[in-house]
Amino acid sequence: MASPIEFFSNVEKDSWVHRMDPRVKILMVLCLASLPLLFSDPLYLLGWFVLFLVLIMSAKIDIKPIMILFYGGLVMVFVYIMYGTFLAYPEETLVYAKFIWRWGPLVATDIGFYNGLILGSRLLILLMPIVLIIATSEPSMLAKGFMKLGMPITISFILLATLRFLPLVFEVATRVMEAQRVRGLNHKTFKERISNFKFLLLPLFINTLRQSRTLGLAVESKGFGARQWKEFYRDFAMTKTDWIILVILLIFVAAMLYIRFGLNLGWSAIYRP
Amino acid sequence: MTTDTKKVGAVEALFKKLTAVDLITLVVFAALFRILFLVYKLAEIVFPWNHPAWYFFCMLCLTPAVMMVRKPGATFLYTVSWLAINFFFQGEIPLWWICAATVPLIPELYMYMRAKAMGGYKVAFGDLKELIIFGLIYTLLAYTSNMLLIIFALGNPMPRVLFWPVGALSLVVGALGTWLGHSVGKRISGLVG
Repeated sequence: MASPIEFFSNVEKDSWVHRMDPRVKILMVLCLASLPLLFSDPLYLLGWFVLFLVLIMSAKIDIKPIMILFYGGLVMVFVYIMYGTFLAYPEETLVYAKFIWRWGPLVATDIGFYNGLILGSRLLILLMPIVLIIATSEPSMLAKGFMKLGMPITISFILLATLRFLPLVFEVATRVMEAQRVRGLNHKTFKERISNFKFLLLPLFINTLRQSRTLGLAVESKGFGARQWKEFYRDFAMTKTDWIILVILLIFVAAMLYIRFGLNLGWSAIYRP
Repeated sequence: MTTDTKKVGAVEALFKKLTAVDLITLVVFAALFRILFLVYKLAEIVFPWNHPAWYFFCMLCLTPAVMMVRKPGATFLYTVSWLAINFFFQGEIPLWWICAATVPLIPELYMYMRAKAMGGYKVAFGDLKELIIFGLIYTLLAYTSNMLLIIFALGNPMPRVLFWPVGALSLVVGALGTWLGHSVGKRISGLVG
């Protein structure tokens, strides 16, 4: 697990995305991470991929420290490609296949691979714009952005708390497992891992809760929830550039909707079994 | 820093009963869920049969969380927490957020009605039978929202025939997670205090 410091190593950089108002950034990412769902034609998907790549590069984001973000997504993409390729398609679909490869019960076809590629790339493309917001925004500014968009303080607090506690839970889990190993608990085989799971669960739950709840008490003692924050020490306001980006975004969204539904382009049938 | 002590939004008022300790408790359980969730990720190769693991771990962590907090809005905020973890540490499809964030609403409503009938949230969230029904509703809705995303939004050609057996197994495993979570919740409630 990457440490939070490493995780936010791109935040201090300076680019047009870094300077953008958090509210515009949130709206931009919401639009860009939803629109590609309307498209399934490989050519259009390639267009989305290139667009996101250009955006990430123009934001001067160093991918290496945040590579962990992509691991889960890449596993899913790989599984989707494999799943689409080896899915048991009916004979009436296989008739149209130009290439068929059989290995025991597994049948791979060009149709299946094409399907898998569409599914996998759609998933990858949907995850790409998220990097723009995570890598270029300070979590506190992001929370403030959400609050200025009307999100309740409770949910904004939760958003920030998740960033603090996930690494803590990882740390406690590692410590508990190491302590158990020192005491001679063996995790060699899969069966042993399953049966020893119960020895991990309770100490993990208790230790994490004990450590974290003290922070809750500290926050509580400062009057959390008694007041509604409306202004901030480090405030921000929409600039002329933000408004221009917002207008460009609206035009882009309208153009994409017109291409997809007005011109009926960008859709390629996905074969279903 | 100026504040407004009188005007509190309707949504904010809904969560007013939850203290910072409650919120952190929910976040910690959501974080625990996401760590146990790695098992689900590793089992992705057997998709869609890895799905029941998702509901098992989700209920295993949600049940002790609501048993400790025992207040309305806890299930919703637990869901928001793990969605936030998804967003920050994995990347998430915003469209699915809307779907997933509505999942806890009906279980919340069920517990609200049961709490009224039984004489309070403390009683309702301590009752195993009620928790299992609550868990089954949550699992059913979560499974439906997951499948809607996978089949219709992402266009996965998963054979429709698998929808029912995987769903049934998810419900059984989800109930098992709730049952185990209940015994974990009983133990840690006393130990943590």
